[in-house]
Amino acid sequence: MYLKKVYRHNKFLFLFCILFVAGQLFINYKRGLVFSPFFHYGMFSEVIRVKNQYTVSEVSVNGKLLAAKDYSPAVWDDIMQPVELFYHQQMSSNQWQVDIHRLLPFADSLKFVNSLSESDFKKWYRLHLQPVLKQPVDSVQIAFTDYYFNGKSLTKANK
Amino acid sequence: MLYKWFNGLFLYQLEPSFFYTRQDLFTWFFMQAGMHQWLLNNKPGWILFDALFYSMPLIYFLSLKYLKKASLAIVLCMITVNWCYVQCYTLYPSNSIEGHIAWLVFPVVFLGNSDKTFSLLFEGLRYFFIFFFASAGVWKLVQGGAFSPAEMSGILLYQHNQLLTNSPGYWQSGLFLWLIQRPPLAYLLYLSAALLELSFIVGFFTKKFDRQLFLLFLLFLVMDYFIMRITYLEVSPLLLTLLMKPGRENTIKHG
Repeated sequence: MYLKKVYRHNKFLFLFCILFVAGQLFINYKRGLVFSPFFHYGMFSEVIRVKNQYTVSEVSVNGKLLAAKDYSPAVWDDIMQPVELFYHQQMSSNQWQVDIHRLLPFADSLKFVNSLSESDFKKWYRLHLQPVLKQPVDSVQIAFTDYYFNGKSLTKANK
Repeated sequence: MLYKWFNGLFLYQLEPSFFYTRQDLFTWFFMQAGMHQWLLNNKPGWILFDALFYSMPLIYFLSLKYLKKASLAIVLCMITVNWCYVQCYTLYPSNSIEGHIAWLVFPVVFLGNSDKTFSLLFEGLRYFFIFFFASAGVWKLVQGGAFSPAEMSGILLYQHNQLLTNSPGYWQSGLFLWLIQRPPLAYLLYLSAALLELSFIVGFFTKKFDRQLFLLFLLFLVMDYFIMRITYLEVSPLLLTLLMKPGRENTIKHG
């Protein structure tokens, strides 16, 4: 058995292994909050139902809607992730109050809060897109559009 | 490294200007140091971090060849650099920290000062990899995804709603819609993935099937790319642990 071999070879290594296994099992048992390097490797394990409505992030550059088919998945993530994360953190900025301050009362709140305003984000995003898209970017429009799923396809809400 | 550079995934190419706090107690402690804020809009800092992060394996390799005495100190540096880089990098709009797990845990195998310690750590890493993948299958049972017949249709709509709406007529959009409209077929695909993950449990009891598990994981990587449009390449170093032949673990030469 692996652990027996480790124990015979080096007691500190054995202790390290036991602590690592215990840490991983504890995090899995508790669910919720993690502690690097102990994570939950769920990979879409929670129930995800088909919804009637989806809010889709859309980015238009120089008046033209960007299409995912024109980019590799990694580059598409580079285009969309900043938008999704910036606006998501704008909406859920109470994480500091709720979780972090409760568990780390001594922590400095400024370390967890972004100072970037929406207009600064848009300026940065326009500049960031230029090398990613390999084209000059004069204007960028960001939209969150509702689409309905009718059982066959997604159709724009206002159509 | 080339893949990341071509896809604009180096830190200096991401040009982070804000961060996103995840639910990770270690990360919250780490954030107290303020390194993630120091790197915002800091071009020299990004280049320094990229240079350190991507050159550490080469520096370690050179130390083994020319300066063996310093190799332990260099491994400790590599672990520190990897942890700082990955913690910061994944706080910015990039990728999940779970996908970077190999960067965090793999260098630990080089800490051993003997071949025996190295081979035991390497074997331990194999068990970790088995756990990493098998637990994804177990979570699907525990969290109920495996028992939800419309699961894969829901996942495809959630994951690909941008592609479906901005790229209609594209072959992948057509394939995803075709699957979404056929929930039993899509569910079968999900169930196959869950079974594939669960099959890794056999790795806890025997190394006889490591070659098969290796191929199954490669299949998973390919399918994940085409069906989910997720690139899990950075986990692939852990695949090396499945190439260790049974009985050879005590004879691996370290360095």
